[in-house]
Amino acid sequence: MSTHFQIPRSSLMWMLCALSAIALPHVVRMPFWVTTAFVACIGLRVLIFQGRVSPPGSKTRALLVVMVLAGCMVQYGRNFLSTDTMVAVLMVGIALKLLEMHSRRDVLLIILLGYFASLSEFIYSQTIPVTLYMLFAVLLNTCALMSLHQTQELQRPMRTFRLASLILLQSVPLMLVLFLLFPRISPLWSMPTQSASAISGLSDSMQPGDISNLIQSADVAFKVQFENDIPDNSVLYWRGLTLDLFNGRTWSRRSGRFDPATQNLGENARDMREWYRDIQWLADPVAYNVIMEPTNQYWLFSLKLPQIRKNGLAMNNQYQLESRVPVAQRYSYDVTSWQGHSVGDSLDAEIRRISLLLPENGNARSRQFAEELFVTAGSEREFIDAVLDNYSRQQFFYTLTPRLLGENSVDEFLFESREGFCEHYASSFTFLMRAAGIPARVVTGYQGGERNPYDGTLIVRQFDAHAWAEVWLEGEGWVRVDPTAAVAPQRITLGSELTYQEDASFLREAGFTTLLMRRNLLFNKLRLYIETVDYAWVRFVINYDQGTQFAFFSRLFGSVTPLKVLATAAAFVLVCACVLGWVILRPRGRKQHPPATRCYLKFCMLMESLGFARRSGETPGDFCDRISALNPAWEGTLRHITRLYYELTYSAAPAESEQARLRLSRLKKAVRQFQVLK
Amino acid sequence: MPGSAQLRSAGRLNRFAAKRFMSWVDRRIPPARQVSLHHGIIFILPTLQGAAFLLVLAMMFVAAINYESSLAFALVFLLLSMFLLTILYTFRNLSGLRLSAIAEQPAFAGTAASFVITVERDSQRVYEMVGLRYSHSLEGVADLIGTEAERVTLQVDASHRGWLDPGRLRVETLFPFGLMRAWSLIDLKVRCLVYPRPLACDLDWLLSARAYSGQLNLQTGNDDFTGLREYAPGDSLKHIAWKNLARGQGLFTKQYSSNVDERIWLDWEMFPDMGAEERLSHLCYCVLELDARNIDYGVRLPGEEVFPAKGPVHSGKVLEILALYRQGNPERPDQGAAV
Repeated sequence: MSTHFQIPRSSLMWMLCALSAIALPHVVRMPFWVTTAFVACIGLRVLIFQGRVSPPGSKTRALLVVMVLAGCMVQYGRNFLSTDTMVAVLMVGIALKLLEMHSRRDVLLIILLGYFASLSEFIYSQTIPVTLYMLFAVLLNTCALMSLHQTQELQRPMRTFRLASLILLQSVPLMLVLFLLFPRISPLWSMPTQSASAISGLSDSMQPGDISNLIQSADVAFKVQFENDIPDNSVLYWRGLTLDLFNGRTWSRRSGRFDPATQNLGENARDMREWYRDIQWLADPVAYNVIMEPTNQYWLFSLKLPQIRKNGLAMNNQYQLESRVPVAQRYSYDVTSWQGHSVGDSLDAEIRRISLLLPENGNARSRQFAEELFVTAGSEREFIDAVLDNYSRQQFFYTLTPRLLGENSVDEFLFESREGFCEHYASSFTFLMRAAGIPARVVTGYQGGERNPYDGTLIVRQFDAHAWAEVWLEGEGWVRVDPTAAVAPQRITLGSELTYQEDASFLREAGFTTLLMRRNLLFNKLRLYIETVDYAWVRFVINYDQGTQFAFFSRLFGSVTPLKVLATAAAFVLVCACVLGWVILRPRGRKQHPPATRCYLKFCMLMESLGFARRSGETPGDFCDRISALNPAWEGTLRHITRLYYELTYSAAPAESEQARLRLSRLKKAVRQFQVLK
Repeated sequence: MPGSAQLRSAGRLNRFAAKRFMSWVDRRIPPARQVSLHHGIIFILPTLQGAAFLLVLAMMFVAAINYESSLAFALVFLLLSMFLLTILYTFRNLSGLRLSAIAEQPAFAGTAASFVITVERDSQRVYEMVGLRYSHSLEGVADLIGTEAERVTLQVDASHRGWLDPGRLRVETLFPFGLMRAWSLIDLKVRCLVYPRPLACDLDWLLSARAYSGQLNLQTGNDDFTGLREYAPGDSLKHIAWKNLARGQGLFTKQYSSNVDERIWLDWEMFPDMGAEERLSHLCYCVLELDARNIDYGVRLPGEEVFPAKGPVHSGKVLEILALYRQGNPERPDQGAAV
């Protein structure tokens, strides 16, 4: 047995194509040197195959492995055990293995690793285009596996490709059955997180200009599916973060995450804090499901006031919804928000203190203004109205590109520039409230959203980002006040798109095609339709987890018992197996003997049943002679039949001629008579 | 020693199991000159590569669970169902094949006997990488992609004279993915006649040194032409009167006179003090030599006698007698039993 196995050319070609296809999506997130190493190994492999380079020895290979590991350590540092590292190591490992193919087993190992590696892309992205692409890559890998087991000289790429595609296509029905019915198991251990990469979106600080930067992006922030009708735009304030600390210019949170009240504030909360127990859920519940794009942050978005039931979510005493782990992948959660609620009468002392905090110096004119206005106004409510009135009457402008502000940003905004975006209004409003002694805070999040007429979902994008304020009023609790509504009410009623579309900087970085799609009616419909498909894909395929599966089963079976599930699964599998069995195993195009031969063969079978089998290689003439010698009585018939058969088979007359047809009918008659005879 | 006893008992168990299996196979797949493979006689099991594939799938499944990735699950299930479909496809690659053996040519001991198997298909289905082998032969591969039938030649070493039964033919395939192995063990009722290995001896000296019935003279071909006689099957083609045939006078053989009786008897007793096999080998050599020189020869063995003649039919008959002489000769009990 030769120890050196030379991989056939076509198999090598398939394998390199497959590995390249599998590795391609990872190029964007792998370090440059990993990609280079991968390409180099592939190139080297081709050269080795052509005989121009000799394969590297074991010492060289060991050195390469050490270099790769060292490189990864340097690259990823502390995050060495993260998913990214593992994927990079896997890719380079496969590439190095390419250089060391001595036996059939090595080739098979690389192909199997290719299957494993194709799984890794789904950890990062599960969109429809990615799915179709990875399916194609898996198909290429399957072609490589098939090519290994076909005769080298006779195989054709198209034939291999077609057969592999056919087999994978036929595997889909069974795959669907297993996908729907196989129970989902909770993770066995926690996986290392991905290294943090910069993702745009709301941050946990706000300074003038931050929100207007987000207006340039049309990326989806999250999509919402309401159980009932979508509420009016004026209700759709998606609370994200509350910002308490102001340094004269920037609003930010207290450092670190707030201590969440408890890990799971569901109905079975074991350890509810007082402030949560004080909440009374009164009226107007709105139930919805949010599918959020990854942000690598902890905070989630919800309408006020959220009552959550899902594990892994928590709410803090600022009524901020947070996730236990950073949202690194698309994340789905169900919320019921109660618009009518009561959070008790007294404000926590610490929160009150924070919510009144202003920096020592700066913005003196605004403070004075606030104090004067508060004295004039009778109550807190009247003060608020007066401030809002000031915005609308004093020719304030709402613009995406306001003038830059300096150190005393509030003063400059209120008395000099008088032009700003929502963050300016929210910031200045909250400042004035605090200066007058009313606890207030800035809230950032999103407002409104696009309604998709096809599936009734609400699509909230980055350009829906918004900032507003909340003030604490005795007897009412935290009340939302949106100063932007005083200046540009159309922002709330009509939504962000219609409000901004005249502004030049709107969607400046979004790209030409997106803008085109929005203006053109047909394209717009297409765009919304694609959004629908994408939403359905995420909702029903990607998020098909235990909960969804259980709900699906309940709807299907009523009560869910293991027996029912097993029986259904078995039934489906059986049906699939039968259909596929018939499709695959049915005989294709039976080879047809000419009618004369068929007739003669029938005669031979008849003879065999009588005990006179025709020997293999025995001609009809010889057969006739032999049997005639044994049974002289049959000689006449036998010779007649044999002669007719010879004439039909070997004569020059074509099969359709009258003469041939006559002979055939005579032959058939003779055989039938013989059959009757015995 | 306990070790060797265990080995012995393990060996015995293996042989017992093998024997039981073979007798079951004999009942299930009876011998026939032509065999069509169908589900009754095709076995199918996963290969080692198939097991490795499932192992990798299991690892992928664990990864899918831990990363809670729906599409990863989908991929694992897709590959699993592909594995299950492979069962059908590998089976399909054998089912419907018709195998038959062509009449075998005899061989000499010490050379390789060739068995030619015809692989045919009845439908338009494509068959790829179908492997055929005997237990002591290399594997031959048949592909019925564009063709309706193909011939595969398998060579088995012929070590002893007599009938060579190569055993059951193993028809096997791993197509399409090497994850499953489908095979069948069929008996095509083929046997190859193995002549004794020719052992050189000094024929001239042998024949001249003995006195047998009739003069022994090895003059060939340089006698006078005496006349024509009717052609008898077996006459050398070198002696046919072609000119007469061309003139349409019929088929005649030229006769040469010689005043010697050219019939030679090859006798068992020509090789005293030798074992039976050696004698047979020498006799075989003599037959080949005499046949080449186109001399009539007869053979006399204990219990067998063949009257002198010449020609391919005669030599075939003589060699067959030499090959099959006393299978299970008492002098060499372990030889002669063709397996």
